[in-house]
Amino acid sequence: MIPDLTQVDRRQVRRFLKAIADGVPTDGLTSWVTVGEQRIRDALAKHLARVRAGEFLVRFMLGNPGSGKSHLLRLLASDAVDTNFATSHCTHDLQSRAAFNRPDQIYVRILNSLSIPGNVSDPLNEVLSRWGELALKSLPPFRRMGNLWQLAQLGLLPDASSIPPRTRVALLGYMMASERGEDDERELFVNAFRGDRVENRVLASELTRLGVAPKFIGYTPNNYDVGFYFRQLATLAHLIKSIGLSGMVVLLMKLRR
Amino acid sequence: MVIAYLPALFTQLVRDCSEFDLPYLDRWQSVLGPELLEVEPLSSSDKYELFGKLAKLHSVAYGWQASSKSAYLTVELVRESEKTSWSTRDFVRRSLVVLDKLEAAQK
Repeated sequence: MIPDLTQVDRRQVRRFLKAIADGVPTDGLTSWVTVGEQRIRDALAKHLARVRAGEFLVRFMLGNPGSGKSHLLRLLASDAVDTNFATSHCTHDLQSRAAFNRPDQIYVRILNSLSIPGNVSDPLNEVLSRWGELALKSLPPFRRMGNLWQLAQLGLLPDASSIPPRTRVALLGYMMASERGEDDERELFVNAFRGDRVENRVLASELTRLGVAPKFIGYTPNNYDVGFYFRQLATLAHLIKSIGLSGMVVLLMKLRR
Repeated sequence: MVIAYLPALFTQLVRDCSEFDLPYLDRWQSVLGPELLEVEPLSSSDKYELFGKLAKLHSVAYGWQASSKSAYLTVELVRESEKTSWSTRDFVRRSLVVLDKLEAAQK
């Protein structure tokens, strides 16, 4: 879309020019200023359509320093937001330990940068809240772990056996605490989902207090447990789709060697 | 999930595979080949278009009107960028320096 430049705030344009000169991706005029790279832009548009249709895709974008990788990722994020996707980004940064051998750190950054359409201050809470409402409306009143398998059949969760046991406890606990209006307990389960260090025994005892004693919760994930964090992220992507958004786009940048 | 990397990742991967006869390349097949998104350098016409857009933004940002001299300087800039293989970021930076100078001269 061509912006009406006479209506654009002059200071915003100055900030934009400074940002692109520094190679720092920014919002606003990104789409308009982009030239060339039609092949990649077409491919990214097709990928968004495939994800909207329910596919899971991983794509690598390669380019020399300064070739426009960050700019194109920002463009993808902007297109994703315009078409009702949740977006998230993370930059590989050794100094702050967000490296690809630390899936726990990558996961936390992805969650912390999560953004959904609309002016939402805590997107994870919003996603869980909307999902919780739908889930509670769809279930019979009796709470048990089996509820999660029922929700999977209704399309509100992925196959429950693919969800890590700890995440299953967190989701059921979240629903039960919401149902009872116990805000502190609900926050505990949200924090477990967010990647905070909440021990499994704490989650299990809280769920037991709410009325369901989990038979198995597995182990508290360690820093390097790629499988756990990936499956929890896949669960989140499913929740995002179940509340009516198009899907989730995660952008990972490797800026420094 | 889109992961942006420098090409060195794959160059090194291919080198390691050929040296040690490792099967990694098979595992990476799904993201290599036609699905790989490779950012190409801008063509000359893309650079003219980009400079034109930057000039428009610059004139809005600093309240001036790019003159016909900027068209001449664009040709110089594009020629220089192709001679010395500037990256797109370099081209943007140098374009903005040129525009800053033009604006200062006009004022």
